[in-house]
Amino acid sequence: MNELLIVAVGLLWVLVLVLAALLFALARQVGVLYERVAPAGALAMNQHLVVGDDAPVVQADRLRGEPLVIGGASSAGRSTLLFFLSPTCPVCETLLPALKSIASREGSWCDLVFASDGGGHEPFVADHRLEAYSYVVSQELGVLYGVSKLPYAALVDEVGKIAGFGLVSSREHIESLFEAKERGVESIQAYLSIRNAETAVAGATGSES
Amino acid sequence: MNLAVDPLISASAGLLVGLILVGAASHKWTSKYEFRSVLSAYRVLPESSLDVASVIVPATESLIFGLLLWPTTRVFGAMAAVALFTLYSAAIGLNISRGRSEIDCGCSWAGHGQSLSAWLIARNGVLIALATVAAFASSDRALGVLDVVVVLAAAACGLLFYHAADRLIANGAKLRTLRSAT
Repeated sequence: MNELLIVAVGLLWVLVLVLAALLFALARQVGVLYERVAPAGALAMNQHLVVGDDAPVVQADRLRGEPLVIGGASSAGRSTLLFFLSPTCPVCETLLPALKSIASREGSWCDLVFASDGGGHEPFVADHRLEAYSYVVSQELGVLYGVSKLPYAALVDEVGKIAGFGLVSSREHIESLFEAKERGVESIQAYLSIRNAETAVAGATGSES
Repeated sequence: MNLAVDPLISASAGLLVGLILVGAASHKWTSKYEFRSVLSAYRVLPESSLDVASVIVPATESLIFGLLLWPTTRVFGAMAAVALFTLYSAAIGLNISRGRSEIDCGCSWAGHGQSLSAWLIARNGVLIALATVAAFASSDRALGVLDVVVVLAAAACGLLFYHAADRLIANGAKLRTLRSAT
């Protein structure tokens, strides 16, 4: 009898542990699903920039090399992705690998420019091997592009107009700027309101039939 | 009245609370910089003390884990754990009442950006209850091999439930943002 109890309790523990593991795995997967179905995009929050307007033209000092003119139509027909960062912003750091891979993938039509202000850039550039990229230090640039929170990105198209901008905290957010340029949608907010209108229409017709 | 509980119960509760704390501490050690910014977002400590606090908090958690492991020191560890969880709940409650519930709670392995919610306070309530159980004096029944097996299994099971609940709380927040966005 005693032996039976020991075996039975042991077996029950095994089953309870398996159930607990399954519950944990399920909860994890549900979380991943929620993340995947959520539309991700750069949050456009700005009082200065309007998508489709001419981008502010700024001559900014490069950390190395001659000053760089940002904004204005590009003679080579190239777009510019401006990434605003600070050496003291941990989220900016986590985005650097994604930015480098985007720069090499989209290198045929788009230049990547890192923009920052303040000091402490030399060790940061060396640590993260950003020597090969344009790195400008200009307070004026941040003010004119209305950067209030970091990391922030703005895409200036080949004719010098703003194609997209916003607060970016993941690779998906940065890529949403390219997507916005391709689709001609201003921002994630605009996209969501268009989609809401579509769903509302679809819902209305669905209930009629 | 005899308030002593069976050592099986207090050992399981103690081990579970200890494992949760040491897990949280190891997470804080490995991403110290992020933990510092989480602490700063809570706005409960002066900016100048953050560097020290971001070391003291995980150190305290690790110390409590050590205290909870041994039957002789378990009572002290459990009391310290109750105090620690109460402090965490107070900090969370304070920020919810300030209307700053969107900050990263820094309390889970479910990734960044889990915001504050009343669920976290409820979760801490359960942890406080568990630590209280571990703080009760245990009767002096000697633990056999089978008891040890049950203690380990119960703690492992509790840990899995804890992380599953943690995920579900995080998922709930994600689902709410998803609903409000679409």
